[in-house]
Amino acid sequence: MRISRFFIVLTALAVAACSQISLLKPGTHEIGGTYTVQSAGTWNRIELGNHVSWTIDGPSLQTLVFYSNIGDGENIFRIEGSSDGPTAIYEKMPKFRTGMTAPEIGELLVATMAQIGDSGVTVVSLVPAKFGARDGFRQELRYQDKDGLKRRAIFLGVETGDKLHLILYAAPEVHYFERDRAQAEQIMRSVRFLPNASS
Amino acid sequence: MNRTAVAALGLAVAVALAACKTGGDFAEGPVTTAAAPAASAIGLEAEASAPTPLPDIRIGERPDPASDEAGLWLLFDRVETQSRTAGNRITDPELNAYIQGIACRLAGPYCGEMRVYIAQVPQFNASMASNGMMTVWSGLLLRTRNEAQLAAVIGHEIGHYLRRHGIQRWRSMVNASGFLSFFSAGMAIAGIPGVADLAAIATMGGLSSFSRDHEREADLIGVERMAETGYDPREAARIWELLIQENEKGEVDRSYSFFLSSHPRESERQETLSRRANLIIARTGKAGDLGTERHRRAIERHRFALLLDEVRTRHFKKNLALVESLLEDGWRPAELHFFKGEIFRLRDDADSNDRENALAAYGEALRHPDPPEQTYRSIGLLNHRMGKPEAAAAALRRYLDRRPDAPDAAFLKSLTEPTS
Repeated sequence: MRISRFFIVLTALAVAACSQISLLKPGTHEIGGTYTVQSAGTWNRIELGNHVSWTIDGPSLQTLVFYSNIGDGENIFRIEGSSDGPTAIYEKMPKFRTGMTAPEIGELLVATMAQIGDSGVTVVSLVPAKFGARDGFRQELRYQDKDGLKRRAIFLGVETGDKLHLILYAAPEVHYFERDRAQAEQIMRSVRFLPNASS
Repeated sequence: MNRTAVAALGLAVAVALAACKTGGDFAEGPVTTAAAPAASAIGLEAEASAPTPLPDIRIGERPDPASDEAGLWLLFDRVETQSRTAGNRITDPELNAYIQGIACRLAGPYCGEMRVYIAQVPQFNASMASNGMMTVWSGLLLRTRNEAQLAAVIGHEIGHYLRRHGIQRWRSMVNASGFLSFFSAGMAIAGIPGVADLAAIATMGGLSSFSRDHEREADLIGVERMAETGYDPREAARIWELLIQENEKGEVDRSYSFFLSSHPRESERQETLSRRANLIIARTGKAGDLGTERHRRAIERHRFALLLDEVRTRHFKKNLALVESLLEDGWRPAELHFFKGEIFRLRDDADSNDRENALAAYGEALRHPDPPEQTYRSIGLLNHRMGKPEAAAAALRRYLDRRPDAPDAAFLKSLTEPTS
């Protein structure tokens, strides 16, 4: 049985957080009470602790994860309402600090992935990019999961109002990454911050 | 996967977990079930009863297909299949040939019975499965200072294989526990301890106490094989000395360890190995080889990556203890000073003057030959954080001169501009 570690982690988080899975039809969707995105296709939405994952065929085949409102001293993964093992593990992960530059956030993301169990995490590029109308960054990575499957990931991120917001698109390099990339990037480009979102 | 298989996997992994703990903090690193799930390793656990003696395994011997031992082999054959393609397997041919060569030197006629896998896991450990699959964790390569120390660990693992400790422990555990415990421990090692019954895992930890005699026996086999094959047997004790130092200085948090080995036991083990080594030397009249240069040649190309893996664990005190210990050897100090700076920069604890300490460490790196080019990048990022844009820009320009194609060049360039 070949299950990616990332999927195992997501599954554990889902169990810990009593996740809910729902169907997302094309349209406008609010993320974390902070911004909206537009999706042209149909996705499945899985709520996982502090973040939300979208997938078409399953999280190990392609996943679009929204990490919102990460504050100073917090790590990328947060598990709310859980006080057992997973929290202890995630407490050891690198923490975001307000004022980090994009290269420093990039280092944090790479270290986080390495701690999850991904191997050979390599930064392909880290470039300026818009997150909504705000100046953020876009980091593209290559890595291998526990089973040796080559995968690629794109993080779109921005620090605004002392909070870090990230959108992750990740998929196996073979077939899925390129197949769904345009759809994922379209969603990333569609970010619109809500009027009451801190700036 | 049916219930029996899950139970079997759970047990096997629990055995591996129980046996693999040498450094003392189970929950801290990526748990690599595919690459490091062996039946026995260089664990320290130990309090208990004598194992049921079995004859040593013979060259070419395979278990009776109807036996539980055959089932255990089959299980590890499956694990080994996964290990071959595991994402964290280090496949570098030269490094693998080097480790396999040491194993063969120590194993002699049993060389062909063992297959070595190197797993990219930044912790001190190695393990041996009943079917001859040996896994060496990359953190071990970084921590051993010479080939003799590496040989001590590999020799110990060979001892487990020869004495068939895996099946003995399997039988002890099957007799002593129940299905649920196996299942829970299996889930835990899969990376989901919160899903598992932690109490059951703790029970597994208790069961590991059956292995004290196995560990002692493997230690003695290892140190004897070292001497027989020309290594200095005193280096076996030296490893434990280094590990004790790292754990003490690194203030290793043991609260997550279910199978913790305490320092007194490590010290006891170190003393036992030291006494045995001295007896061997008195008996044979020769000390043997350290193999320091061979070891350095083998890991030289990999050490930067190994250090990077360590720092990515963000166990800063432990990271620092390791780097400072390595600095005592005086080998390739520039990269060690760079990583010392990285530890301070990433921790960024104002009470510990981390920013100043980081800059001092980077400065030290630049005073030695061949400093990593990333030193300038880090000096730049740190000065930017400290509100010193001119110093930041100067360092980042020096980095970009050397790495104009750096993946984050666009961002770094923006930090060199006056408006930043």
